[in-house]
Amino acid sequence: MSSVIHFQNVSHKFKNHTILNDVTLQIKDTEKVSIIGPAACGKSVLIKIACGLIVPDQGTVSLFDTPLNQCSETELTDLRKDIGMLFQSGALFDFMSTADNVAFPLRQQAILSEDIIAKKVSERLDAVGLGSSSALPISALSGGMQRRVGIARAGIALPKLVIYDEPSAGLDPVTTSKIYDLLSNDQKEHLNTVIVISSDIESLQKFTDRMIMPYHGDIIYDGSSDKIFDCKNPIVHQFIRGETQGPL
Amino acid sequence: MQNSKTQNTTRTISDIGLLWMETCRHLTKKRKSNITTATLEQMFNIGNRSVIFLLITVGFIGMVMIYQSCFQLQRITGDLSMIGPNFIKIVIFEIGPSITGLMLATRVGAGIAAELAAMKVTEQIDALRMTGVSPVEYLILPRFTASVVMTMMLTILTISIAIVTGGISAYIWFDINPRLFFRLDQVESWDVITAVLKAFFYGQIIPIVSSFFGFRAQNGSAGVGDATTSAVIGSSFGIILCNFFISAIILILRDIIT
Repeated sequence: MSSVIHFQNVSHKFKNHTILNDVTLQIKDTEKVSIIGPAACGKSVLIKIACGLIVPDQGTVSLFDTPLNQCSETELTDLRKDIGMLFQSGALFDFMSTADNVAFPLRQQAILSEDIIAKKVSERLDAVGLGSSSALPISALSGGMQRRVGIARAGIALPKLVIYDEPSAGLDPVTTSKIYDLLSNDQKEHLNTVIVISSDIESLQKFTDRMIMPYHGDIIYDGSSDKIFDCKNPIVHQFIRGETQGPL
Repeated sequence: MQNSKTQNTTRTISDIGLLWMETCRHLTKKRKSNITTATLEQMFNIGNRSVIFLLITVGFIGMVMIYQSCFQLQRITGDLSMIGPNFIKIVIFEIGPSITGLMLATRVGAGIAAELAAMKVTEQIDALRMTGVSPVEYLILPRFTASVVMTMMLTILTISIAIVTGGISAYIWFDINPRLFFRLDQVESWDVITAVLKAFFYGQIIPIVSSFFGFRAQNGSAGVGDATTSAVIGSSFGIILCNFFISAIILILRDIIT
């Protein structure tokens, strides 16, 4: 399996706060990985560094076996065409309708005709339960609906790597299950690499094979999703059980 | 402290220069995405939506300039025969382009900066990048092209309006015959070249400086406000500096050539 993301001794600080401290990490092709951890522990920054949106202070980051520090902005733009991403804030284009947001990655590829794009968008919106909202502007959607539009947009162009930052935030338990089923089916069908950032341990355990937990700059857990409850690290132990007593 | 401020200013200027070069590079690049519709939309935003605002401002400036000039000149020499040709000359090479540029910097510059800053703080610009789209090509290029074209067109319009309102005021308040006023004998080709050059460069300064501050925004809605303020100040300052340099260069060239 080839490497999709490779961190080699990566360090990064934000003001005086250490986000990553000499981290070496590899995510391989077709892996389903979740990144967990308490708020502000650097999960989203880790992913943004992986995509070249943030340049780390030290170390080498490779995306699809291409070292990002040797890439020009044009090469980076080309690399990102193989990535779909749901941002934590949604990051939907507020000057477009719901359907246009979902269609955007396909239109930028300029491969498919408008008829086929419309069909794919309609199918995708149906899959996230927003079939009837395609014409609505983004401002007319609730937070949960916007998140589902973001999920639809992230996966529509069948990218090699899909990143979901908090896919279940603001969603009810039923919709959350449906969304994880959709992500799971997509992954099985297209065999792409999926990274999910979330604190919904139960859903992540069902969906992903591997869990990574950064904390204060270090990776304190990197292993099987099934075995995380056996982890002896007190921080991991407290976090996954949601206990109020402990080092967190 | 002073040193750090100087370094920041130097860095800001060099980053604006880099953004300008990047935008120019995209102008000549073969593109997959169709930016014509976006450019036309921006031409409407920058041009059509600024027309009334500009015409009223420049119209009044023309009237005030003529009133003050005639009033002062009448006290000193009493000869108002050359007021029209000289007024037309000044409006063409200086007042028309500069007032248009400064007015557009406040209206258009603020709009561009606020829009892009809001996109930046809501991660929409990162989302564009993650879709393999260059924000410079998708967001700045249409605004840049539209601004250059519309600033030049609006400059022609504002020059015309200032001359017309000036002529009307001269006739009403000082009884200057329109035939005596509307004479182009003081206007040289250098004045027209200066006006065209100024409008061309002002049209580039406004979207580049405003986009730069918009792209650099952070810290939520406060950041959007800061970006807008910086864009208006930066664009206006850039226009004033550019005005000085173009005028100086043209004067030097004119001396060398003629």
